[in-house]
Amino acid sequence: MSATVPAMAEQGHLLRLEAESIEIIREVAAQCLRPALLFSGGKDSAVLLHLARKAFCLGEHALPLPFTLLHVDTGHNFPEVIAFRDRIAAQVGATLCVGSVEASIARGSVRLEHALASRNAAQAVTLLETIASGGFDGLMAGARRDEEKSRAKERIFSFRDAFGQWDPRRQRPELWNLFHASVAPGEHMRIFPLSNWTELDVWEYIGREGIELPGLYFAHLRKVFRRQGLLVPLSHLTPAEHNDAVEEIMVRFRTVGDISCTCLVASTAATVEEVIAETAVASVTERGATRLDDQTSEASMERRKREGYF
Amino acid sequence: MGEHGGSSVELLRLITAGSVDDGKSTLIGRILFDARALQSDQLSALSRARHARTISADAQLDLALITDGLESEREQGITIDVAYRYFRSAVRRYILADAPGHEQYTRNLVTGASQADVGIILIDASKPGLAAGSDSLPAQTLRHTAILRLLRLSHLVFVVSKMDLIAFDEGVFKRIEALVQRLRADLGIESGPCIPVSALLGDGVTYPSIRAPWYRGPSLMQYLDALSIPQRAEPGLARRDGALVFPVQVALRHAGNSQQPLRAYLGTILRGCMFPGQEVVAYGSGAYARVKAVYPASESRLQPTGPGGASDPAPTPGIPIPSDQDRPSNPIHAATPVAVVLDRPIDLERGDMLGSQPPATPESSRAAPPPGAPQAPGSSANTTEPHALRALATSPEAATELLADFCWLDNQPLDLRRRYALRHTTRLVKVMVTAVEGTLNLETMRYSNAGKAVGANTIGVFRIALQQPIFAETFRSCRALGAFVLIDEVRHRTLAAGMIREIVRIRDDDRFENG
Repeated sequence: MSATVPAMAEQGHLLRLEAESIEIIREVAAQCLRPALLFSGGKDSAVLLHLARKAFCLGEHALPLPFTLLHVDTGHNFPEVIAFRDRIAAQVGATLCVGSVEASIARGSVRLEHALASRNAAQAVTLLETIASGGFDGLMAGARRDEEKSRAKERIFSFRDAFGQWDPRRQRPELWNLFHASVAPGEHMRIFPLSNWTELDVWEYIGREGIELPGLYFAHLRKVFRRQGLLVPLSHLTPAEHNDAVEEIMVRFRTVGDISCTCLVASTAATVEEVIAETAVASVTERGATRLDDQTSEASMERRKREGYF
Repeated sequence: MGEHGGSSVELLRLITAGSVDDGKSTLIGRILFDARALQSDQLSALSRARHARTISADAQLDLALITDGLESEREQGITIDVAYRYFRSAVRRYILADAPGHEQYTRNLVTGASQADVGIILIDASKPGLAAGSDSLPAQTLRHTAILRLLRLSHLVFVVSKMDLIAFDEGVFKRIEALVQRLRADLGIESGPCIPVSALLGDGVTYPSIRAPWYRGPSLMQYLDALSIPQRAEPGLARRDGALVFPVQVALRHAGNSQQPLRAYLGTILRGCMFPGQEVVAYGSGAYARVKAVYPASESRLQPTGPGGASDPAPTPGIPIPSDQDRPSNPIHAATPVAVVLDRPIDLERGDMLGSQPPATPESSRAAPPPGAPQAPGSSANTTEPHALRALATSPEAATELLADFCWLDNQPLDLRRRYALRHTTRLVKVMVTAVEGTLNLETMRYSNAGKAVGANTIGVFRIALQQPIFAETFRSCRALGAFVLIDEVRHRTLAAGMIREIVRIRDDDRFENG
């Protein structure tokens, strides 16, 4: 074991987080009629899927997952992440249901200001359409409370009304481990089994379990430019403007989302151990380092969540 | 299963409670700032924020805004819902729940407190009444203390805040400390410290106060770092000692489709341990069986996710379950999520419970465990805990009538004519509330007589009749077996938190007499 691998006490902490998450995932399977697991191919959803597989396993015999995998594709995702998503879903033997923002645009339910506008906010519309057409009443996702201020206030079992809205004033009491997932037709629950994990816990667990991730999470050479203090990947969706200086440096993604709003961190961390060491001393939060869209207003995540966003 | 060996706690869950404007959010901001748990972008967001309340001198920031995450909270300058924060000291990790003070958000306080090990109750030293020598603590403080007491947190610590506003006056602090001692005595709360702090200046929070040299006790973080909490508090309120208690969370009838029959039971061991060959009894049906195999979820050996693993994801028909002779029979301990296979088909479903001894009867709960009862291999290692072994004689009772403390959380009042659902462990049963025995008067800290309306935030004691039994103990003896929630199945609401005081009546039958 290298020096960066956490000590035994930390490993005990991971076992507790794992136990809590597995209990929650099984509760979703027990209480929800049509549960789904949001799987984007990102690191948190890869951890969530790994936990779900462990929750339904007899030793080395994996049982079929009692959930559909769900993804909302903005059409602006990194191709290697989509390929990873499809490969893992096939490997696990799960049904993958993909909601497409492109399709919502074609239907007319999503309108963008201009062709290259961020489709991040539009995801909420497509997600709600996908939930309605699949009849899902419980959606698990890998969001964590340490990510953002309004997430820090969300229940593990988080109620959404018929419009998919999160109303912080109407959150359900959540007592002990006696979760209550029943909803009226048209309403649904969002469930966050990783609520109590931190970014560092996620990476330590990825290292402990050997969970595979898309290569974007590790250091690689990429053309970037700087905007609002962030490192923007050069792409057809995020083209450089005339006064942007494009440089090619070693970077990695700390979060992987829509191309139009996901930024990079300068990093030489090429292995999980190196990422853990880097995360342990990070001086900026995960979203603060990488999200263009969260910085527009102090409360932008809260506003999007009220509209049905994850 | 190395984490079951030690008694150290690497994770402690805290909740803070206090009246409006007692400086709770500032205290939490201070704790996080001192623990270096705030990162540079969070700090710069605070300096951008529009609704600053109080600016600390050294941090040059409104520390309170760190925890007030919602827009409406920042606008109103109050905390509405529980915010969870994660930080670590040199000693351990903490999860801190910041709960609202307003009475209308009591349900959020109860939510946060049900997960916590330690309660931190703030009292504002600068409140005019207290500074002038009032002989009682603010009503909200009494209410919060009563709630945390009801939920039986392991420790309650009182923090006297805003000491800077009273110039660190020792006399005022001593008077408040005396009121706290009286409150502890009134509510039967074990002793604990009362700590003077100024979160704004950083005195007494992480570091000892330099402005209150007359105070010789620990700072808040020194006190918390030094606490040892019994293991039972974590996670899922589980305990490691005692006879097996295993609530069935998911009952699988087949491995994917009916061509692959399989009976496996998923759940988290609530108490005791489980091992292949162990004789177990289903509390619902009274049927006995032996454990054929028990698989801890953490030790699931998933196929490595690499290219080429994609071919055969589905399990082969008829999963070979090794018999108990084929497996090393290490006992699997409480708090572990497992999958269990039994040696014969018995009537068992979600909400049922497996135990290593039948449910307690009035006779058996006085008697010693039966000779020849199955013993866990290696259980002799537990002889360092003779008290725990003696407690092993207790097992849950099949309760059909309860007397319970409650905290009513819904806006619609209790309706004695209605039938509700009660959720206890993984079991859901129909119930009627047959009588309200009393409600707590927060001015006097006394229970008044029946007949009072029960509405949002009422604390009281009620009597419940159950259509089917639950397998329960008192909340005092085991939080996980004594806690329940009431649910309105028509409106899909969680109505009340319940804590069993007394099991009034147990199932009257003979199914376990010859067991």
